[in-house]
Amino acid sequence: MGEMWTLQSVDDDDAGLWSRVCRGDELALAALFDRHEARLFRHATRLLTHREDAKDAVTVAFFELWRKRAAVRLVDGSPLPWLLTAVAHCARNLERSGRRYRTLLERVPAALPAPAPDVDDGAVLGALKRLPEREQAVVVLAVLEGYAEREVAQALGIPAGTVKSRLARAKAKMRDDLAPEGARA
Amino acid sequence: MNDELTPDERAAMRARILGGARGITPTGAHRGTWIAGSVAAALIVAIAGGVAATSTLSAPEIATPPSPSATAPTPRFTATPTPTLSPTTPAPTPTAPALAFGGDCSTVFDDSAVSAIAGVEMRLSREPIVWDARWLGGISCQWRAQDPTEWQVVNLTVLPWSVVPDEVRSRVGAAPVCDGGGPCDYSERFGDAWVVVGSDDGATAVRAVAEAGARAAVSPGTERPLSPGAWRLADCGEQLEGAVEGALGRDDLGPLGTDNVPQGQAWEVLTARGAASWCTFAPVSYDETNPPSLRVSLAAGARSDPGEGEQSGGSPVEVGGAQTAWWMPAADGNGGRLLANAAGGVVDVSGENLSREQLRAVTAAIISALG
Repeated sequence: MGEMWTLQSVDDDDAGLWSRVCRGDELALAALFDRHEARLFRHATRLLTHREDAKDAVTVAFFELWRKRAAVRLVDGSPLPWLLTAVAHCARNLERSGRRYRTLLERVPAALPAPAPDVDDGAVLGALKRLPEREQAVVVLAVLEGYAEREVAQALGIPAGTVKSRLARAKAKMRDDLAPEGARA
Repeated sequence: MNDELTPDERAAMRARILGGARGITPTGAHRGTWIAGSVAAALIVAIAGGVAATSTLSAPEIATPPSPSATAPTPRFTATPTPTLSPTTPAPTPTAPALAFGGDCSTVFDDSAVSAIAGVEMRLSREPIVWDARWLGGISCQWRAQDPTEWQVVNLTVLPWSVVPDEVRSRVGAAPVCDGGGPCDYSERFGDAWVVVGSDDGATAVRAVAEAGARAAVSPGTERPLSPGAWRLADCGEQLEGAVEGALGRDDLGPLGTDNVPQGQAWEVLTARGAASWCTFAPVSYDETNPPSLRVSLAAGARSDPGEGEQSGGSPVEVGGAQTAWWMPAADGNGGRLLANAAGGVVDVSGENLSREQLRAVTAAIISALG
């Protein structure tokens, strides 16, 4: 087990783990999960209403990371931005598919008490969820996760200028989206 | 919802991921077929059953052709088509415009008219031409929000109706698809003119088409064939892969995963007529901290106005096989853009993590490969 990459840093950094993932080492994938699960799950819970969906979003993101490992875009050697984007897109799709069943589910007698309203799923996150995917991805990485524009551009494969324009557009849409709610308050 | 996993949940998810990984066959870095990066959208969509399969490829920022320079309304054709008229054919009326709106974007709309339509102050863009409908007898114009913190863009193209292929004709008058990243454009036919507008919202596109339509009908332009020496464009990636790899001394390049791709009805017309093509290159394996990437835009039979390079802050540069070329460094110093006129058309190469010399070499190799 004492391979070279384990000497690259005390924490066995992302680059080292990624190198192992690319060689087909599932344990390295699990180690990446250990390293980033808290941040990814927190991210998923911001975007999804149901805890099980949030867990699924993170799990699917890791499956996709594994499946597409030959083509995943790293930022400064880390797959974390890619994972965050994957979680966001998965969350979006889960929400969409959930809507299909919501009406049906509402008719089903509840066996358990209804969950308390999710205080995190506020108006701002609602506005975020309503953004087009490509704008949501930029907001997630640049605003929620604090990546620099250059890093966001690299993660998403778009020019830095496009990051700026998408971010500006997304912020304006969110402002517009939130304005009526603010007025009602 | 508690935003932390419990130890049991964490262990269960870890086991699931580990077990799942053992049963998942990785997709190879198959040249020409992979998608990546934000394209996680497409990946996840595939898993979720194609819920949003149409929503991941869009990029209005570059999706529609940039405008011609407002200061150079007269196109500079390298080879004006010679009429092959029989003696019995009536001569064309000298007043008939060869280009829609005479090739002058300021006669389509002035800035105030576009500002009123878009709801913010807009100005005609002076970005260098790459893909332009004028080479088919039409006109391409772009207006951008004047305030740099705004983002709105209005792209308008007018073309002779005869140029529009059936696939695009079938979508004329169809409501724009803007949500989720679909191409937000709208088109209508007005007599012999076809008018299409792409913007950030459908209402703007519909209004702009309506306001330009009646005037387009009296100035639809005349269909022009591409010049005889124009490049014959096919699959840009396949055509240029060898040249690009050779110039950069690499053998590991494939398409760049991005959702920022040209699309929309105007783009479809130009590509269907062989006037435009686009491709990207980046290492298929992302084990470099700052991997190089290239975006190549080709316009067959076109010619960029010499003034456009300078107007955009470019400086003349020598490129093998090019008649004229301009270098425009990126604002952050990380790469830049090289715009070159060659006998067969215009090539526009944007690169990141590449030097000016590397981009010169790539551009020369592309021109050579296209013949």
